Amino acid sequence: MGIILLVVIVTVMFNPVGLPISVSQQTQDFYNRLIKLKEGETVLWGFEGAVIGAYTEKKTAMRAVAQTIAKQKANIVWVSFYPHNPGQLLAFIEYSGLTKPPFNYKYGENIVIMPFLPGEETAMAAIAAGLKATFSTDVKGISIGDIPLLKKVDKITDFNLVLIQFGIFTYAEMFMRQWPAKYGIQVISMCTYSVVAAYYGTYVIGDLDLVRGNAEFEKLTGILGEDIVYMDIRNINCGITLALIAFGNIALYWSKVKKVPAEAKK
Amino acid sequence: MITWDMWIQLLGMFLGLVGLTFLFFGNTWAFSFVEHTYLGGTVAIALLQSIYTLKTSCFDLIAIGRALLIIPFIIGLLSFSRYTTSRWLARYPVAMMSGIGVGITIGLVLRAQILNASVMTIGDVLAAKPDTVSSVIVLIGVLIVLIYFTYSQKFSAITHTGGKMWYIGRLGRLFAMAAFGYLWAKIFIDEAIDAQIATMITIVKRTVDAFAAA
Repeated sequence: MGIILLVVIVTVMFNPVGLPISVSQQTQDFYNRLIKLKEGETVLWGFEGAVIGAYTEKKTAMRAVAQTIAKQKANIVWVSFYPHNPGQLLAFIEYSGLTKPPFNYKYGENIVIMPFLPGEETAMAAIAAGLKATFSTDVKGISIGDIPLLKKVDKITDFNLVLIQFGIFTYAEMFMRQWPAKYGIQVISMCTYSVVAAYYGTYVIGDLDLVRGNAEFEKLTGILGEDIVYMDIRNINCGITLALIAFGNIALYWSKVKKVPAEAKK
Repeated sequence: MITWDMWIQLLGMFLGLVGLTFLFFGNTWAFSFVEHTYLGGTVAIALLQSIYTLKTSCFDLIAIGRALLIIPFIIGLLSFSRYTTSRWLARYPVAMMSGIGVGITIGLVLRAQILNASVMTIGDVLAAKPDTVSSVIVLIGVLIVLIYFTYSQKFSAITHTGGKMWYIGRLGRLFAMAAFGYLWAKIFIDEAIDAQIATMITIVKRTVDAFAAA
């Protein structure tokens, strides 16, 4: 089974089949909210990347989202909750192309990364209450008072849009409690839809459902990345997995049916 | 020409593949080298970032006049008393963290996860959202799953096995199983396959693409 899946992955990885992808309502909602951003507005992007390697999986979709925000000429402030996240976000700025043409974003004026803050839910509560009371500098050591972008935003309600991105499921509840429920705001999310489904329509108004949502978003925006390839492999692999599960069940059932007459004869 | 980035990509691919040898050869010296490199790097980054966080979220703020931050800093320091004979002092930071954690959470749990969910379920029925049949099924599901999880001899024995209305409890169990089945199937099948794909794309495809581009 493992070898079959491996062969399929390698084959499709280098020869994408291009299976059709339909855009789900959650992805469409996510996109619609992003393109409502106006020039000069600011997005607070809460980034949880506990699993270090998860960033490499998600960075092409993150690039599509960041570039879509940049096309609207909106600004981004990143906050994160694990020690390695600020470094990943610094690498992401380079990877995303935001500082290069046609966007020409400047660090401090259009994008800022805040340092790591421990405490998970406690950190979220502190960030929402005010960045200036929580941090003295950004991740590069620039004093908060010297960062032009942070002169117009402080509390979570000062931001025009809040985007939450996480992999650990319990972060859904933490984010919902400390940000939307406490401050009466609505957020868009990049996470498994099943963990925010209960809040969809009230606290969450758009979601990229991991690989599926990311691939849909890349297709929708035309900012293509690896998620389209992921989706191809996943569709074929899931088909094979389900077929093998069905085959296994039929084989098990058949083996039981065959045994019955032999026992009955005794 | 092989660039610096490509060398790093190649090194990453090599270390990744050596890490995967654990599946076939167990805990060899090569696997241990990769494991220790990864852990050492992670701990080093975490340590440096934590020191930086202490500076930016504690020392700098104390220096500009927020003297009260000295109190949480000292309470935090008490964690290290575990390495001394006064290890009982480490109970204070744990107690403070637990207390503050519960304090900032409990009221919002009621609002976000109980009141909001109740209002939303009933609101969907009234607004026929997404449609009348679905919203009614969800309402029935919510009610009977709650009944299933009510473990009270006095109030819910009737809906459990042996009770006169045992079928309500059974239906509640079916609703719960459908929800858990969807959630776990999605998490374990989808994400397991995604992780497998991600490993192959990161290790193999990006390296091959990088060489092809060069």
